[in-house]
Amino acid sequence: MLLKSAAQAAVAAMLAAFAMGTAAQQPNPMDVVPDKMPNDIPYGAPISLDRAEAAINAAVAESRKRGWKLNVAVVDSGGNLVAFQRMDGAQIASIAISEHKARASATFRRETKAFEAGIQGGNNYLITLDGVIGSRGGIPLLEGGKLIGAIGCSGGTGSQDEVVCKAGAATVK
Amino acid sequence: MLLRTCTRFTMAGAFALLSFAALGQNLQTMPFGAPIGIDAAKKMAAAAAAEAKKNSWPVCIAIVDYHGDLVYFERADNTQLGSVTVALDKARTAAKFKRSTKVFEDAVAGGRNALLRLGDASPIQGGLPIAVDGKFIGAIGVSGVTSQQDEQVASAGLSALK
Repeated sequence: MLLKSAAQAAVAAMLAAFAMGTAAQQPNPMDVVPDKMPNDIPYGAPISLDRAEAAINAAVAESRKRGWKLNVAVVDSGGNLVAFQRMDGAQIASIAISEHKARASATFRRETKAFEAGIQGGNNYLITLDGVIGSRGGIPLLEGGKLIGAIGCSGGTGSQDEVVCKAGAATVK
Repeated sequence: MLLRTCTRFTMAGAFALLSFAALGQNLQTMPFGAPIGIDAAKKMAAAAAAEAKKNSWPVCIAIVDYHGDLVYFERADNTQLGSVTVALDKARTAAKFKRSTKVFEDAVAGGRNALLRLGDASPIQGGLPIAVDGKFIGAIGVSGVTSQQDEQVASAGLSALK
């Protein structure tokens, strides 16, 4: 008896929600079908250790210049770790975060800032995608228009991480 | 010629085994020091990488502090990708258990299969603890070639701190 009335109430609520949804008739931006692929960047040969280390050294130099203590990771075009450095005094949690940012940036072929902006803008579905990290500080490394890897920085605010990350990314052209 | 080289390797391995066994015993009671920093880690990695390059061995080199947290990592060009996590696992195991991972490998080979049930422990040679001035500060893990060769590279890294 109690169960039946609960079920009835649930059905009524569902119908009401459906009626409201149809009444609003809001166009869903997710229904738009673009003509072209987004972030259609071809993958190149994986970044060499020498270049990965050059990027990390530039990032660490920028960080040191500002008195910051960060973790910096570089992954190849497949998201596999190539090189990593933790500056003395950098927070431990950011070891994994820096690698995560680099990996997400390489495998999604975009800056992790895009996820941060998307989630902040209300596209919460982004959180459900595998491997996403919603924080800036992960930047793809492109050479001749091809993605050869990505760099990720973590330890400060997202904005600090990004400044350092850009200094590292600038070494790859 | 080949035989002689092999013998030399075996002898080097035997000596390494002896010294690490001794080191392993001392390490269990050795106090923790300040965790290894980036400068020392880079110095070790450079020496280890030089040994690997000399032999044309593509390897991953991971250096962790005594907590097992990563300080430095590098993967030589064309190293098999599986070695990324193996090098990290070896370094973490050597750090968390304060001993060479060869101790685990030998024990398992000797039938002590119970060790395979230890969480978070890699029973594969190539992870070595780092001790400086009587303090335990971290560990180095190498992966990419045979486990004996991996340890040879890790050992070259250790010698940079002496």
